[in-house]
Amino acid sequence: MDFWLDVTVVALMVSTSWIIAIRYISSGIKWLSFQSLMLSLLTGVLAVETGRTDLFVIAVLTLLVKAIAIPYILYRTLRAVGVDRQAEKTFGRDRLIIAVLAMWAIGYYVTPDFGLGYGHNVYLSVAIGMLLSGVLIMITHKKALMQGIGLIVIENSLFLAALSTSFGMPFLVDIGIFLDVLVIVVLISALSFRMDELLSSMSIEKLRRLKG
Amino acid sequence: MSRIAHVVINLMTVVFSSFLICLGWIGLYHPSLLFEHPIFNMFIPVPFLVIQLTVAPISGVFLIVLGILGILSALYGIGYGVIYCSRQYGVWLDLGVLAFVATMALVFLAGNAFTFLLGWETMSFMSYLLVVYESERPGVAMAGVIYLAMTQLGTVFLVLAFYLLHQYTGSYDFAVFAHDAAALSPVLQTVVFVFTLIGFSLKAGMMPLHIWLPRAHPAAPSHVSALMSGIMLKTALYGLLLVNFYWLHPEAWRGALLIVLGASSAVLGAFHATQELDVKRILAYSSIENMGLLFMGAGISLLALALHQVTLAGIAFCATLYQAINHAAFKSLLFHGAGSIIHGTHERSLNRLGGLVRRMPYTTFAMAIGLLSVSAIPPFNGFMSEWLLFSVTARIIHANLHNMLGLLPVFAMFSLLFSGAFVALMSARIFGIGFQGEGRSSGAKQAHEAPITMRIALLLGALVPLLLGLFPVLITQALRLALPPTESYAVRQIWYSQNAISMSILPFLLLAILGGGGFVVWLAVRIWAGKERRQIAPTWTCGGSRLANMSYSATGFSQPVRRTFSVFKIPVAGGYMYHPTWDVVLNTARRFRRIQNGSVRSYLLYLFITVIVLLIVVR
Repeated sequence: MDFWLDVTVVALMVSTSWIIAIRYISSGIKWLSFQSLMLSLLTGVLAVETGRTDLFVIAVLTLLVKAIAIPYILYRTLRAVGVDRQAEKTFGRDRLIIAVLAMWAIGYYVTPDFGLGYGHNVYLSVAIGMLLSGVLIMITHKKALMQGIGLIVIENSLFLAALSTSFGMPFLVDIGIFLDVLVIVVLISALSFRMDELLSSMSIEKLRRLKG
Repeated sequence: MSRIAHVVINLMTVVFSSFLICLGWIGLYHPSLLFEHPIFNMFIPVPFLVIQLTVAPISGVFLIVLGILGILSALYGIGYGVIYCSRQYGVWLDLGVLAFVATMALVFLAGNAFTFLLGWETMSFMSYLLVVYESERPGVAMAGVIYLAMTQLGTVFLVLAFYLLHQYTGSYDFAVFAHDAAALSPVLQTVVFVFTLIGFSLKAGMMPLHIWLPRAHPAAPSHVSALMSGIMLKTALYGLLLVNFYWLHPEAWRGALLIVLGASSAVLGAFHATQELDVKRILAYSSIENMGLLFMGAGISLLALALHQVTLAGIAFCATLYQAINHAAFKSLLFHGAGSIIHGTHERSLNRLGGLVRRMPYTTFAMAIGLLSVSAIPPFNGFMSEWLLFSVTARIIHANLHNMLGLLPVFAMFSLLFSGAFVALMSARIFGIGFQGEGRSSGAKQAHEAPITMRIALLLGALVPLLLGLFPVLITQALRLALPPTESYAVRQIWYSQNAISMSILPFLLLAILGGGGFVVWLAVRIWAGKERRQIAPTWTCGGSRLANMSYSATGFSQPVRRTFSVFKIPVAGGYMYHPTWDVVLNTARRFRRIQNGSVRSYLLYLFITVIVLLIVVR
């Protein structure tokens, strides 16, 4: 079973790294969907391993909400404003890839070795690396939708961190987080659409004028 | 009702001040512990909280001065405070003055650090409240804030100094400080000296820590200004003398520092006094000048003491105290006079005054005496103390010609000369522009003389400088009691003539010479030139109508000095260090504002960096 855990974690890392470097927003959404799918797989594997039913439920919820509903909402918004939108980035691909590698390194470096004989908690390292990469996505991308995607990546990373340290959060908390994320994505979609209508652009750099 | 309360409270202040004079008189001859009582001891056993009141000869001198000024100001306040009676809380001004006098007495009576700091803080706070009493006038509130901020800054340093002394002597009593502090390590003594110097300089308004003074003094009601300038500034001198002559071991460099600080403050303060227009602001700058002279005198005495010239040190100490008393006498008189001018004309600027000599004869007389005293014209008191300071400085220079440090008093001499010249100009300017000529505003044209109690206070106040100037030998004899134990002199040594009797007739002699000399000159002119022929005709004004503003103005009067000294780039109305400091603060803030650029992504970036740094740090 550990084999499947490793495979899904590697898939998470690859998808996260790739989201930063994508050229079109639509491919970003596809990779986000893939990432969430892998997360739900990972939860499922853990559920089988530990035999806990609540993890099953959460795996199914992750699949439904994060891998299907959220990408669908984002994709609809994107279609409304034009599918072939490019993701504007502040830096080039190569530099971003290097930055993401640095994030993984930092994630590994800062994760504590609890000294319990299990060695390093690699899943936590990946979670922290994903968290930092998610923030990096929000920093380097200019489009509002990509901010939403970055936020979901951060959410996924926190989910992974909870899984890796204590087999997930309490059930009710997880349900609440799912609802929150769903609402946030709906809001981001609606506001991005509105921004595109008003400013004919989704670039959040146009929001500078809102400064007091 | 409020009128009766107003008079009663002021009379209470008079009684209380008389009591202070008696207390000071007792203290001058019999130093004694008056009162000692721990407070809050039942609930919190804190050894620090002990009220201890003592009188010593040196505090006795200051207490007598405080008492005399308190009587004069309270008498003056009876007449002056009437205009405030109609205000809401009119009586609070009188209560405030009473409390102010009481808190200052607490400072002089303090026998330990707690009592001293308690008195110091309540004194600062009471004076702040009195400064902002007329807060509806523009600029008063700001003056109060600056004053409060500066004085609190000074208190911080004083608390630190007392704390250090306590740490190493194990007591808060001044008597223990006097016994043990001189044996502390030199580094510690230096730290205590620097801290107390900063704290007391802030209170004394030494340049460049003076910025609160020219704002706060004009803002307060005039009799409060008189108290603040006359005696509150002297609390700083009292503290300085206490620390440097009674507690710490004398060091030459400290005296040199005090000389340089005081001398530069005296010259610059006097220079500014010639440039300002507001009468009370001029007097405030003159106070800075006089506090500079006092600090300089203390420095000269300390230098001589460090060089083991005990007699000269004692004489310089005596001259400093004498000058302090004199300054209190004539500066309170001048502030009372200025208050009377404001009361009668509702004008403050010299350029809007004029012609008061005819409309306010009593005020004019009092102001004339005060101005003659401040510019050190014999036989008034300013001459005696400044001359004493001058002669002792010359003797110290003479005794230390082989020593580089001993030459520092030369600097003091230059400062005395320059500040004397500036102050003479200032006095001429106030009297010439403010009192002579023609009224330059409707207020000055319709000026009315002050009410009777104010006139009494003015005339009594005018008597004090004269008495202080006519009997210098008696004063120096009394001041000998207040010398620190390490210094001593015989009264006959104090004067250059080495003869006390010839000294006591000197003021009268000078008076006779001045009066008689004037008469001789008049007689000679009369004989040689004959009787004056006078033709009275209207002033020729190029055919236009004559206006009061055509006459010489105060701004024009000070123009030559301003021109001459513009070479030295003395900032006339700005700070030396406050403006640059403020600019640095503003520029830094502007630079930091670039962080706040409105881009969501920048904010995320700050968060991101913070998180990474924190993660790495706490790992």
